[in-house]
Amino acid sequence: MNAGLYVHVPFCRHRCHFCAFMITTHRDFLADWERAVIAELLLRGSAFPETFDTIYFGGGTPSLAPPDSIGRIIDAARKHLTVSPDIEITLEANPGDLTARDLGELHELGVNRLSLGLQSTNDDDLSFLTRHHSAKEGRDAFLAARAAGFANITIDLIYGLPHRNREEWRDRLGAALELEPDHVSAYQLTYEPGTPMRRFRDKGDFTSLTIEEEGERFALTRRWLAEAGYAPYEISNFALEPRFESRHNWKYWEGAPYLGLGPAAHSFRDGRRWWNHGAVRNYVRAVDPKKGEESLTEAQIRLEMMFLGLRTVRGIRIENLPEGLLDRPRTQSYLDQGLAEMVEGRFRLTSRGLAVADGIAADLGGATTP
Amino acid sequence: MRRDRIRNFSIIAHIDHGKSTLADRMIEITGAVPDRSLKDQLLDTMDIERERGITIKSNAIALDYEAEDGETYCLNLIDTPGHVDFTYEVSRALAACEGVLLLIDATQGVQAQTVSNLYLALEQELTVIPVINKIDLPAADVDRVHDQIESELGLDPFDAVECSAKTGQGVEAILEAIVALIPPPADKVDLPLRALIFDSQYDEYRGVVIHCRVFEGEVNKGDMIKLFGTDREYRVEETGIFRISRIARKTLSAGEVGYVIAGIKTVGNARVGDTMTLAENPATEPLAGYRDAQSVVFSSIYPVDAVDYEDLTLGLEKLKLNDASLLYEKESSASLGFGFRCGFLGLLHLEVVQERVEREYGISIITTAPTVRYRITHRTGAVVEIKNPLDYPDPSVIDFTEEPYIRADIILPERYLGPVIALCIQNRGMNQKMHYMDPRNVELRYDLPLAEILYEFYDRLKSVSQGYASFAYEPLEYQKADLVKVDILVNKERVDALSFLSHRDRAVARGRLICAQLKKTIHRHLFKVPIQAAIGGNVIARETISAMRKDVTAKCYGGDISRKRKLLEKQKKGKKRMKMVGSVEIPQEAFLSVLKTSKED
Ligand SMILES: Nc1nc2c(ncn2[C@@H]2O[C@H](COP(=O)(O)OP(=O)(O)OP(=O)(O)O)[C@@H](O)[C@H]2O)c(=O)[nH]1
Ligand code: SF4
Ligand SMILES: [Mg+2]
Repeated sequence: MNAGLYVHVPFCRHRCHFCAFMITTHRDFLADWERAVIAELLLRGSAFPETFDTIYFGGGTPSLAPPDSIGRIIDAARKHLTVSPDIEITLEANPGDLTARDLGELHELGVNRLSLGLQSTNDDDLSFLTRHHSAKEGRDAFLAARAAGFANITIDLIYGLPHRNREEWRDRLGAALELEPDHVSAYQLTYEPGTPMRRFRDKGDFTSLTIEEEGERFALTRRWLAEAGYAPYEISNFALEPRFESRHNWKYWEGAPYLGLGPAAHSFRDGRRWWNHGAVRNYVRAVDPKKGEESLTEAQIRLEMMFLGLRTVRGIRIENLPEGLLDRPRTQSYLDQGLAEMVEGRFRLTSRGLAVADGIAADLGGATTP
Repeated sequence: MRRDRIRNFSIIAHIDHGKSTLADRMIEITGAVPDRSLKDQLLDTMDIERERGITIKSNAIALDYEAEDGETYCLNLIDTPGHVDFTYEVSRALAACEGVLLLIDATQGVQAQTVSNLYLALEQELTVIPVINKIDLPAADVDRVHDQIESELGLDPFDAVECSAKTGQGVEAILEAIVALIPPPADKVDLPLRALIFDSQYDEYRGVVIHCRVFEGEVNKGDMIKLFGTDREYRVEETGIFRISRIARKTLSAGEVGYVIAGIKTVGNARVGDTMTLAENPATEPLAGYRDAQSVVFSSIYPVDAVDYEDLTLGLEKLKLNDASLLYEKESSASLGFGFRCGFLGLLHLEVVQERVEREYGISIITTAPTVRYRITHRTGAVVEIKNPLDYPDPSVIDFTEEPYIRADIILPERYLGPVIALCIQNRGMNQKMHYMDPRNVELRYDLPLAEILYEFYDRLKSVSQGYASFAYEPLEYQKADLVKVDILVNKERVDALSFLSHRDRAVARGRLICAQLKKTIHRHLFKVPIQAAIGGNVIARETISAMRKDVTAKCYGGDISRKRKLLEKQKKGKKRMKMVGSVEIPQEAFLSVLKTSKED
């Protein structure tokens, strides 16, 4: 299996109220960060004999890193890893960060997939989400990226905001699709512990959607996107054509090896997973940035493949299902109720089943060992 | 040790008035334990006692005290529990003593257990030394307590000693008072052996360790002893006294408190309250023992996971070794499988047993709603007692039903009179007496159905009186009751372990509460789960848990996988604490929550 390279860029202009990522607003660490990432690449690269066919700059806000910094990291990867000629290189960008020149430069460097943090096409939504760009700036950024030659652009959207009805969401989604993105990641708003958004909700500043409404939005979103030609292939991911599916993200869901560089990044290879210090300060100072690791047992690997598989259209190959699972009355009832289906030797969840994938995973996972 | 230098006494009091802390100070002052081993409430050795900060079992320790008269005395101290459930422990301890220290918290004054425990001591004609404790606290009202000692307890306030068990102030004076006021044991060493078993404990290596008080004669290592209760004989392997651990001694003679190890295999064979004598030259009569502890509350214990049944059996057996008051027998339930019907001294006892089984034997268990023992007279005239709602017969065959009552004595500051009376009435109480102890404090007497005080009377009493009311109770005769059996159905299936008997007027309210509680504790399923309470076929309350419509997390990338797996692993462990009823998972807490339904909200 080919491997993927993830590079975490932990810098943001400010912290959005809903965000629980490891980020910092102190950009004075940029130079240290680049040096440390390249050092880590040298340190770990030799442990990965596989060919790398993806690089993913995620964040944080990778568009805050100067393009030449991105370029040096890509160069280092090319030099120290075995890299496929047909590599997918994704970079996440926030509207307003990148000039036409930056975009051109990145494209030159080999970045061939741009992930644009649009989040919404409505200014009220954007201000509720404490994003610092307008709907218009989002649209402009998209068009600029196209103009710079990006033929594979994905947009992030957030739905399920409080006090917004489903028609409002449909309009916003519609406006986003008018841009003709190649791929859409549509995330339902979640209230992560520790975030201001969570605090405001718990305090009663607003009322979040009920579970029933969330379920409805989830189903509608899948339907509307499918009707517009975007095939759902994971809980929150939709592609206009199979070739626009995120090759990199598939690695996470299919248990392929990946090397994660940067603060808080996770790596996985051969049943072993390790992760880095989350705080940028600690990451850049550490001789070895690894903070923790785990060796997965057979059963743990199976459990991971199970719940990850359940999130995707590919489901789980029947022979990889834990023994006896299919014969359980519970499993059978999922099939009978139309929550799951068997397709081409795979057990996978239907749209309705996907909405409750966590519960089904907990149930099937609970049954994996007696 | 010369007999006239021995003093046997217990410390008794209302809960939390400082008995164990006073014992600490006495241990410290007499140097019975090396300094480095000192810790708070040293005699509370069980984990659960230490965690909850209460005494559950009585504990004995011998102290050598050099008094002001220059003589060294052996003081056998027994620390007792204050909680009303464990009154039985107090009476056992008292049977081994000539005197008691009656502690009164100077900030609280006389409380219900102060009075009830005093009566236990007076019944046994023991010398009572009143001790006013916690005088270091700013809220201490020593004068008031002196008044109460005279007017409420009928004791001589001039005997009262003031102390702080915390700082040690006044503790020497208590030790002197013990020497001066508590009589030494009577000199009866020339008579045939009679020793009262007041406790017994199981030691994995030595078998049963009998805790006894020798009243007459003496017992030596190597003697053959005989127990009156079983008529069985055993060879004494070891005798001795209690320090912080056991100290072997060749002889234990009249007046002394100590232990005997005689190769006895089960605690059942050395019943508490039994009398020990010598096989050759036996005494003719046993000592007046005491009644067996009476179970007043019944509940069933089931393993959450059926594979733990064997372990549960073993665990209960072992607990029983040290807790003679725990009763149990096998039973089975359609919803819960195999388990045990158990009898307890009260709800705290139930909780303690439940916690010990879970903790010491590592088993997750479900405890069903507690109930009392009802007496049912059939139309045929036959009378049966039932202690399990499942045994309740078809109403058509019942002539009448009776339930146990208790007489509660409640002591409270006058300003809480209104809400406390309301609480008693709400619980079907009948007022018998009310009297002012002093201008500010009232003593109330109510007769109440035991079933009503089972659930949360005690907690509610504390909350309506902001912690100031205290209560003690004693059993009364049975009285007629208008009962119905309420079944709980989850997803249309009756969960027999949730069935309960209720006074007819209370059935709907309790049914509603339980349905609401279950709705809170049973998680959403992928289908709708109706919950109903029914009498016969008649639904009296219902709730519905709507189906889970969405639970999937939006994002799952490289950094999320490990966390998510751990969550699943945790949930899987959690499932071990779930009971499948049909296709519904009922968490252990759901069964517990039924136990703790508050009557108002
Ligand atoms: N300030 C102060 N606190 C005390 C004194 N004596 C006991 N306490 C505190 O009162 C609480 C209860 O003390 P215990 O000694 O456990 O009371 P107890 O009577 O043995 O309680 P039970 O065995 O549960 O009936 C503890 O927090 C003690 O620290 C005292 O003289 N002064
Ligand atoms: S820009 Fe993205 S990573 Fe940064 S705080 Fe906002 S949501 Fe989080
Ligand atoms: Mg105590």
